[in-house]
Amino acid sequence: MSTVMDKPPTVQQRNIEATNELCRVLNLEGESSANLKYLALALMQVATHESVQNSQFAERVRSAYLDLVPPPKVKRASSKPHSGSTGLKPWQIKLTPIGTTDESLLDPYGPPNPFALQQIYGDEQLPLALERYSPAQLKAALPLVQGRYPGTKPKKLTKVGIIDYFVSCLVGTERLRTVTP
Amino acid sequence: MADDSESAQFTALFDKPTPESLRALNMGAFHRFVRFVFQRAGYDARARPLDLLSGVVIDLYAFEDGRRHIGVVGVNHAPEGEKVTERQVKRLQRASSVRKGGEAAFLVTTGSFDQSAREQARRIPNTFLLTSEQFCRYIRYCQHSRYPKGLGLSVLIHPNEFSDQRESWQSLPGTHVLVFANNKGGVGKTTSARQVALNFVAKGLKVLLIDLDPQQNLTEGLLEHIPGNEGQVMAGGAGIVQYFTGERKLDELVQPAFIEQRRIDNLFLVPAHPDLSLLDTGGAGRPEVEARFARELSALVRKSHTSSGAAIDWVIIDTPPAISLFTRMALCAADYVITPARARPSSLSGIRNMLKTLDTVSQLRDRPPRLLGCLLTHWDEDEHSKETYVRLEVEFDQHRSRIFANYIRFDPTVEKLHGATQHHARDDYRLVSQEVLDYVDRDG
Repeated sequence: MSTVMDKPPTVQQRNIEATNELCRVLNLEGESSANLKYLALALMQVATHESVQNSQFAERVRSAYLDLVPPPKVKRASSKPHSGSTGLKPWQIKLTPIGTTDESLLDPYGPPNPFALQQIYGDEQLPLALERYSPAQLKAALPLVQGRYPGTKPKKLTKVGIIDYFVSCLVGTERLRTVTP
Repeated sequence: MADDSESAQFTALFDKPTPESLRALNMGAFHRFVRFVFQRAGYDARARPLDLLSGVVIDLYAFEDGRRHIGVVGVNHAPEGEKVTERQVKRLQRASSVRKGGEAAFLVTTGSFDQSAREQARRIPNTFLLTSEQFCRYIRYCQHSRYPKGLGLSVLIHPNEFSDQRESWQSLPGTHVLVFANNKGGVGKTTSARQVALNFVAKGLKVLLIDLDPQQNLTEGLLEHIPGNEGQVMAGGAGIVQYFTGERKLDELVQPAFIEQRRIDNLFLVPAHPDLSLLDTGGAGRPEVEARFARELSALVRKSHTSSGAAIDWVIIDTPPAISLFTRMALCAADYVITPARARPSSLSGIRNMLKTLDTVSQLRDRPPRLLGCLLTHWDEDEHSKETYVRLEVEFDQHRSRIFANYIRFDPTVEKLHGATQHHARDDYRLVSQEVLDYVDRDG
């Protein structure tokens, strides 16, 4: 078997495949390629409407999206809540809690506590949990981690650099490399 | 006598009780731990040998102008599956003060009770049997229901409502009790209760609103504008206070609701009363009062199911901005709870108090209320809000809950959402109401 066959299809290939399949299902196989942008728009409008009405459908769309999207881009999702006027949900990662932590570790006015976040969301979701905080908040959390890992520091004081540092301390460097863009 | 290390062990066990950890204690330690729990519940609990065969009984005293004997506790340490029999219950009931019904008799076991024991308990009122599971629920309830050192000021938490001998109640299929609660004021509890109720009514559902806030803002909005009623609400008409004084039953206080002089079909109200504040005993636990309200509400709903008119689909309760007796009662009766909150860091402590109270009061229920989530109100799209949003999300994730997908945007006119004019908050509430219905549908 060739290595080419083992390679997963690219996004472009999937796009063409899905469009062809949709045209076949909708009996639109003869349509010009120039009109396909209108098909995409129609699909988006209907899907949006259906998502508002049907949460299961919305979940399927979200799940399909999460399967497709590369991890580093996903973790930069906005932390904004959803628009009340349209009911639309932006592409926001919803974390799944897997544990609990001592309430006193979650200071309402203080910086985020990476150790508490690790307990609530686990190792896998820790980078995403940290991603939701601003660089200033993450910087303010540095002493918490450095207190437990004396003599260490982030390579860069950027948001990505600080998250990398937290994850490398709390989870280990191997996993860190897989989530860093 | 418990030494220091045992006292530390008991404190740890009190904070995280499990039936297994109770069984793991030896017989003597279990006796002492039961006594420790009753002391933490506010009793002056003293051990006394019953007789050579029966071991130790704990005498319970209350502090009321001196000590007053109010009951006895029998303790049975048995392996899991071993059943307490009628004979052991009878032995505890031997005291004449118990037989005459004046004092209470509690029997706590790490095993279970057989049928004859339960029947014997029923023969003499004030006899209550508690398995280790029920005793653990009692402990969890006590944890946040009284201040442990408030001997003269604090309350006595009776274990009656945690035993099989209590009068049970249950939610009726087809009717849901939804409570809006938050320790913090000004977060939109009343507005949310009213708007969600109106949206439910617009969908053809029959809704009963209950106003448990002495400020009675919900009542004002729904009754004040009836012709001839002006000023009556502020003066305090018939209302929930009469339920507490025993003058009226809850169902006798139900009134049709009006908005801007127009009767709203399918919307009913049990009005609040300013004197409610005089009846409030605060945030300390009153399990029998909390459970009685839930029972009475359940009876009211049951009556609506058997009457000729349409049954009540939703009971929506507005609560005061405090962890008061009324908040506790509402949470006790709830099937679902929504916590309206502003996206501000100062919201977190109020939310935590409310969640702790919800966990506490849930111990009275076989099926605990579901926390539907945090409804963000007064939403202003600024950095401060976004930052707090994440903090709130972490907080609610901790409780296996969530933040509502829809939120209520800041709207200075939100409190006057009765009229026909368009408000964006009105649209937001429409979406929130649908979200509630979708969630409850999925929840089954």
